Amino acid sequence: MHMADALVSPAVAGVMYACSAVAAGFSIRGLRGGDLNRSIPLMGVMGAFVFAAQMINFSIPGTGSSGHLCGGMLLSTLLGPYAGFLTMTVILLVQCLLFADGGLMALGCNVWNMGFYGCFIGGFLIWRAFVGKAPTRGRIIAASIVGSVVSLLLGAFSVTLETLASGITELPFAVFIRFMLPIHLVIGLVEGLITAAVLVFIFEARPGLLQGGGPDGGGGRMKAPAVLAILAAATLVTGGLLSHLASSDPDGLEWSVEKVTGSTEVEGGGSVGEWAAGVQDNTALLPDYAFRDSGKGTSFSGIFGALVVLALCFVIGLLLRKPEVKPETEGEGG
Amino acid sequence: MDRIDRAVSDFHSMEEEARGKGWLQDLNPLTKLFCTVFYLVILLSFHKYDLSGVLLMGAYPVLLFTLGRIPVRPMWRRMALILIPICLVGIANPFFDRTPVSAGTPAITGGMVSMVTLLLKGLFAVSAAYLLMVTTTMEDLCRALRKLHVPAVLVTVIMLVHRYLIVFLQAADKLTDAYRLRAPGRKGIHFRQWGSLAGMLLLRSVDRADAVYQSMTLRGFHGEFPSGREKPFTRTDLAFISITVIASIIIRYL
Repeated sequence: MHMADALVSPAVAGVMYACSAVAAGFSIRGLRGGDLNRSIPLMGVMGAFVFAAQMINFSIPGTGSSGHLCGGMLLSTLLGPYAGFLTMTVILLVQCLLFADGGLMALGCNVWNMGFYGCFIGGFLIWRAFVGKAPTRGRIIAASIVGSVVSLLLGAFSVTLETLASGITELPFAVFIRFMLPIHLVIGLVEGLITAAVLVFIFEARPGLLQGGGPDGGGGRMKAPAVLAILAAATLVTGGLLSHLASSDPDGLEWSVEKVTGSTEVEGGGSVGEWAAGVQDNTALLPDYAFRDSGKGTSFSGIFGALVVLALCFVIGLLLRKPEVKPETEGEGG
Repeated sequence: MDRIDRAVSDFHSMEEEARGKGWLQDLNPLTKLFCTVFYLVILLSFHKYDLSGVLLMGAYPVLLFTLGRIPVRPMWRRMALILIPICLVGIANPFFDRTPVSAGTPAITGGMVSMVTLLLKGLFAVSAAYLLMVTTTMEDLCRALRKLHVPAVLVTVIMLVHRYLIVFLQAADKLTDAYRLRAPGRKGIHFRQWGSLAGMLLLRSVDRADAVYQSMTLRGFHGEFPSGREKPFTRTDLAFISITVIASIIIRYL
């Protein structure tokens, strides 16, 4: 479900960064009430654990395929929703930077789609509703499955909205959602079962580690109305802004330029502009195969020109780079 | 090489490259972070049909890869991971957007152009992020994040995850190798062992976290690691920022 940079527009990326930053700020404030110095090493090590555990393939019986555990839900049940969300944020950042799993600009979207829903909805609200203060094997299994499925479906729904609002795909909303939700329902079920297996093992081996009895004890202090309030506000902000951004209005950069120049595009003009236009007319390649003037912002000549520029950049780079200094081989001069 | 081995190998090669000598590695981390984000914002702001504009934005990674002598091959593996979801989203465009945009035969449709633009955006965005990480160590990046007032809790956890990541990846690798030796021919972990296998790793992690906490406390940890030596902001940094910003704006708006 990791979104790549190419799937989001700057405006959507900015909105989702803002939403995730609010949730992170809220989590940091919530954590300050506990023993922060003790929570930090636990968050770091648990983050590395989830990272490594997500690399393990758990085979799904009868399918020949495999799945992995739901990190947000697991972290939230062990560390509490605040520390869980912050740890999940860090995992997603490291995944994006080191392994290109998700984009840097799409990080806000990914934190929201996987961290927020997994930690606050699945790992806190649903976990609390099902397990409460009296965990049993059956309740843990039910909470893990329902929590994972709901988190995954909400995440998939958000991915659909964010991609459509960015104007990236021509897929109609109904088709896109019909494609996304069934797949993530199955993934959610599998992730829920794996997460349940791990949590049941922990419950039987060391029950004190589960939420409420964890080392930071932060999980039990958060009030459900606070999470619901955040969720409601975020839904309003996300839904409202994203639906607005999906309209034909200019994007953030175009809007800024429009405010300065009165137009979404900077017009080239003057004698230099005319001269350049003349040169372009005389040197245009493939003139009979140019794109129609449909305002689509591209042409074969333009594409060819861009490719020539890229080739030139490559050659210039090769010519300008400093000669490589080869290390002296051992034994020389000795 | 399986998934975990590959992750460990990628991690080591990136670390080695980032600690190497070169003008890109010597730049101030804030400069590289700012230029990467600025480049990405401009790149993603291109209209879905503006193929020539997006192509021109490829000059940034092409120049940096060649001038900085950065190996391209490791990036292609990462690219496969990111291009699959982009393709899945983009492949629909030619079917739903059949507006012809060319006069020739066969006619090229808007959907085809937007699909190629989307793929190129994905390619260049991953290249830019890869260039940032292959020339900047995580310590330097964390220092830059602190300068941008990112909360100390987050930055410290980033450093810890980064430091322990390799330890846990190797532990997971050993665990799965041991499992494979006991269950030859089985693909993945059987569902009866799901809980015990990952659960054991988790319990070991919790114990390790406690040991880490004790040792950090003994070394005087107060919520933040001391920052090491900073890379200075030089005239090269200024030139790099100026060229990136001016060139990106020219390509985008002129």
